[in-house]
Amino acid sequence: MKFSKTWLQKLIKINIDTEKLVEQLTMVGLEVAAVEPVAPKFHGVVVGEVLEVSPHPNADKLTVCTVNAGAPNDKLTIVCGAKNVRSKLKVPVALVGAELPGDFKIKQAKLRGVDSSGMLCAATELGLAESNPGILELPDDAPVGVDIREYLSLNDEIIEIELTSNRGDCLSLLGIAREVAAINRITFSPPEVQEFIVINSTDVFPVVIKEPDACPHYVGRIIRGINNKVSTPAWMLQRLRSMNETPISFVVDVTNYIMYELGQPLHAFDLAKLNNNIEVRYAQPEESIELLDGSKIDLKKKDTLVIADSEKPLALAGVMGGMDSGISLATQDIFLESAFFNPTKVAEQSRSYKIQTDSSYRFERSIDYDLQLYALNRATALILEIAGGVPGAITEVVAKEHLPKSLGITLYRQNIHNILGIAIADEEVVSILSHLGITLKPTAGGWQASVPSYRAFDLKIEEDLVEEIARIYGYHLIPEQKIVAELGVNNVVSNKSELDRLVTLMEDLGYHEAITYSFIDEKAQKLFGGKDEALHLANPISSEQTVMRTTLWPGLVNVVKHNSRRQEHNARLFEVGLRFVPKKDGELEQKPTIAGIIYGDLYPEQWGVQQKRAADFFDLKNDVNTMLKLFARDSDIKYQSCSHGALHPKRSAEIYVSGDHVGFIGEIHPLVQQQADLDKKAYFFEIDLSMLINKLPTVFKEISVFPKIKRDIAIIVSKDISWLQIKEKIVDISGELLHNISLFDVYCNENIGLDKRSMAIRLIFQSVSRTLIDAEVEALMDRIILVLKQTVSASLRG
Amino acid sequence: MKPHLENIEQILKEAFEVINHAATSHELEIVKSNYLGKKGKLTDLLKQLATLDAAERPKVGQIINQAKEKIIQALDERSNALTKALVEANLNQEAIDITLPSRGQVLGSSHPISKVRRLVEEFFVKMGFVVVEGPEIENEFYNFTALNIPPHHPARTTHDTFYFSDNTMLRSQTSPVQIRAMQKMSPPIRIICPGKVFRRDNDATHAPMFHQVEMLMVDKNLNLANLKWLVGEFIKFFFKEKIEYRFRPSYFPFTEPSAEVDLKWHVGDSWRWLELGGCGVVHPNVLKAVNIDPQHYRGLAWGFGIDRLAMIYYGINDIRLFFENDLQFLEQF
Repeated sequence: MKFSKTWLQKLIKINIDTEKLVEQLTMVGLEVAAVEPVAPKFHGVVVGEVLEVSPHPNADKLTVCTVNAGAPNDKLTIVCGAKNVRSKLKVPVALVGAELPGDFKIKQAKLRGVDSSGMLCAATELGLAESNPGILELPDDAPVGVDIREYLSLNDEIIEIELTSNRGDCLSLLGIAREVAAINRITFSPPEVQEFIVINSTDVFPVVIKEPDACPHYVGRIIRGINNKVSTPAWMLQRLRSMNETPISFVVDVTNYIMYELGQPLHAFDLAKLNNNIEVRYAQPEESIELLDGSKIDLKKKDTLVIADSEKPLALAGVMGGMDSGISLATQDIFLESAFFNPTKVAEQSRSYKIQTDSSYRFERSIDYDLQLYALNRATALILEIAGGVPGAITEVVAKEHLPKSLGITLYRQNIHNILGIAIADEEVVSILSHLGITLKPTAGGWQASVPSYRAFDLKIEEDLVEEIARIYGYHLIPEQKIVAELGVNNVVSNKSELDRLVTLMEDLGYHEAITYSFIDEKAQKLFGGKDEALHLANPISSEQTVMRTTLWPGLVNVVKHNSRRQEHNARLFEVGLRFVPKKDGELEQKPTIAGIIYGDLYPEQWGVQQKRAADFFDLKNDVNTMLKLFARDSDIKYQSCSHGALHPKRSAEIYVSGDHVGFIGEIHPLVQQQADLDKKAYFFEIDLSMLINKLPTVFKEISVFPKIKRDIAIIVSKDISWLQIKEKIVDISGELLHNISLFDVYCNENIGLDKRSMAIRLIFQSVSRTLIDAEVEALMDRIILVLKQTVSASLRG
Repeated sequence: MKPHLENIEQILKEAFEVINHAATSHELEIVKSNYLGKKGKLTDLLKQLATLDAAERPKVGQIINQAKEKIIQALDERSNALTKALVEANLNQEAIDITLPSRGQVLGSSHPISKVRRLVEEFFVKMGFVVVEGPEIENEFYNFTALNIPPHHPARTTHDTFYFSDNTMLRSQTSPVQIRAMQKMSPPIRIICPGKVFRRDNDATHAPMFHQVEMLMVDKNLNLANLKWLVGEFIKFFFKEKIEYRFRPSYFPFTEPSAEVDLKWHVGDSWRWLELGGCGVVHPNVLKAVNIDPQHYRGLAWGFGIDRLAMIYYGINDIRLFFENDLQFLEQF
């Protein structure tokens, strides 16, 4: 909401610095967003009248004017180049010595041999307009000699406030004036309506309200015989311009003026174009209307409220009037409407037809439900005063039961103290609330308050009144008060500290944390998400952010690509966030997940590393293992080959912890790599965080003091046999005597056959209760070798 | 043959001379053998002891043994000196440029938003709050209705909120987590809910996804002055210096009275009030919606943008940098 400070000061007599006013408004909750002067700085320009115009003796395009700019400048000779200059025209005159915007100084000059003492100004030259249609023409009644800044109120400032949605009452000068009055504790009354006499009390137009809940209050009247060609008075034009409103015709200007002044949107119909009566009803599905802005709409939406006559819709109620019944310069008889529409209804219409107007904006936030009659009368008086005419009697239809109610609110003295933390003196409470228009009756514990109609939408409960007291009293005067509360450990189950530990570990392992969008490109989702059918947004903001991710990998791949474009070709990244996985039953799981990617070299570029090499599956596996060991024993962590659409089928695994599936690890599938447009292989992991509950043992296992016996064997097996198979066999045979098993060499060459590989295994045996003898270990080893031969066709390497 | 004791001094003199000139441990071995070996000069003398009178033998033997000790000592000293010289000579050979860069994996980083979130959590956890998280896809009840947001509030429109269907949407604030928590807990409640939120906006100061944190306290006898204290304490903790702040009246459907918290912050050449987030005394309707009796309990709530706080804290001017994840950006945190 913008308003002119000068206009405000016409409504409320207060002399206040702009800076102070801005501070006051902001600190009661009407946050000032901007203050703009209406005109740039200039001086020395006055209202003048062109007395005579004669051709310039030496130039075709120039004229020589005699101008009265008030004594002693009542006969100035000024050379002018504008086409619209003519005698008797009132214009702004920059006198010799004037300074115009852009450091333009006016001096005594000689133009093509003719003396010129000043300049007739265009709006652009005064910084009042962008384009230049010639000399600025002032109304005929402009007073000669008066400073133009004063005459056009150019010393004014436009203050813009950002209103919160509860303060529809401040969408008018009247509302802001009330607020300023309350802050400064001065009394204030709304502008008075000039009296007029209704001569023809039988000249009424019938009004039928068919939907009283959508339109609980409607008043209207006929005014006949007006002159709509009359020019809108300068003071009104000035104020309309300050609201960025373009003047249209006198009656329309008055309706706009009243809306800004009082907050009541009005509508004027051309009476000659109305049939029989006004009906406020829901539109029929086949009806349509051409609105004032020229757009034609079909009134198909359910329960569209229209103002109609007996024949057809005339206006989209609360939003915009129709073209057909609108006012023209020739209009003589009008029907003037002032109504209260249900805020929800107007919000619905404005949204469903996607039309927002100053009128709908106000109705949506609820206008004062008691304002209609007053606004209609004030508009009538202005029209009669300026454009003449004969007013008819008012037609009023009201459905009280559907109007908002100003509730009585019980306010307890003690509750003010309890909510704010400080006691506020009774006189202060009474002063604040009554200046806000709230009437109070004292009761035993406080007051019975009654809220004025213009705040009914906002003030409904005791807390609302306490806030009113606090904001006018001043939030800054409420002291800080330490909280005293009972101690206690909350029993919320949380893996927060484990998660923080995990994130710290990732950081220590050299990963950078990324945060990417939860909604992603559908193509990327399909590429990486496998079979999961992702959830679609109904109203995405971008075509690249349309579905909810079922995996964090596409986001990480985007980050890798972004960095590649900036010549950063290696990356180790991780992200913690939710994945959105639809379940078979149609429900959706929102799974907390950690995922990571290694792309490019294992190490950052550095000196002396023996082999500068790309990271591989086992580098990532080590990091994943390190992570998992925060939660589980090594022996509880299992990797099983898997088929995940985004991963290389022979270089990927499902991860299990204590038998539970927790996630995936693997190399990007070569086809996916191509489609994702990645230059190098990427290695991914993704783990469900909810599965990572601490499974580490809480009881220690006895350590052995007896000697260890070490045995190495080297076997050659088919490549189809996994290390896990071999390991499990050995563990199984050895039982508890096996202290440790490790693999210390793996290779493959032509000598052993390319379909085989050699594995060198170190076994360490130890008993917790006795010293092992060589013979039993030898027996064990023989058995191991035998079983490996029999089950996996292993041969011993010679 | 009698041992020539008068020769001992001479032998010792010679021996020291040779020892001190030995340049290698091998030379020392030869010296040792020449004097103390089976055919060494001192060994010879000892062998001749037998020729002496029994009375003389101990005395002469002692003299010879003393000479032997002296030689051993001299040998050891020389040997140590030679070793030391040798090691020292090697030390220089082994010199490295200790200013060369280190090798191996380098430290990664936490995202600045995570860093700020953890700092925020730390404050509230120290104050006895619990961190609670919730779903990002919400339904109408939790995201709007329970928060006292009326059916036709602009926030509910498809212009502002991301929808999946009429009833499901991406949460537009973290407040639904409070509702979920309050349904499960009974007062006193002290929770903080950090998380992602979604609004249909995209420019330098608004991303369609950003992070919020909301704190909620429900207890007997809480008031606006308490809230001011809590906010003040947080600002002191977070910025580690005195930052001026103010409560400015505002409006949120879920609090009454409501306030915006503004921080006085240096922007360019001037001090400006920057909006940090909204707070207030929880609206009684919100408590009623989760079956907490507003007659007995009052709530305090405060929510603010983590991204916004991080932008202020680190001087970041474009929110989109957070989600671009440029390594040059991430590595700074």
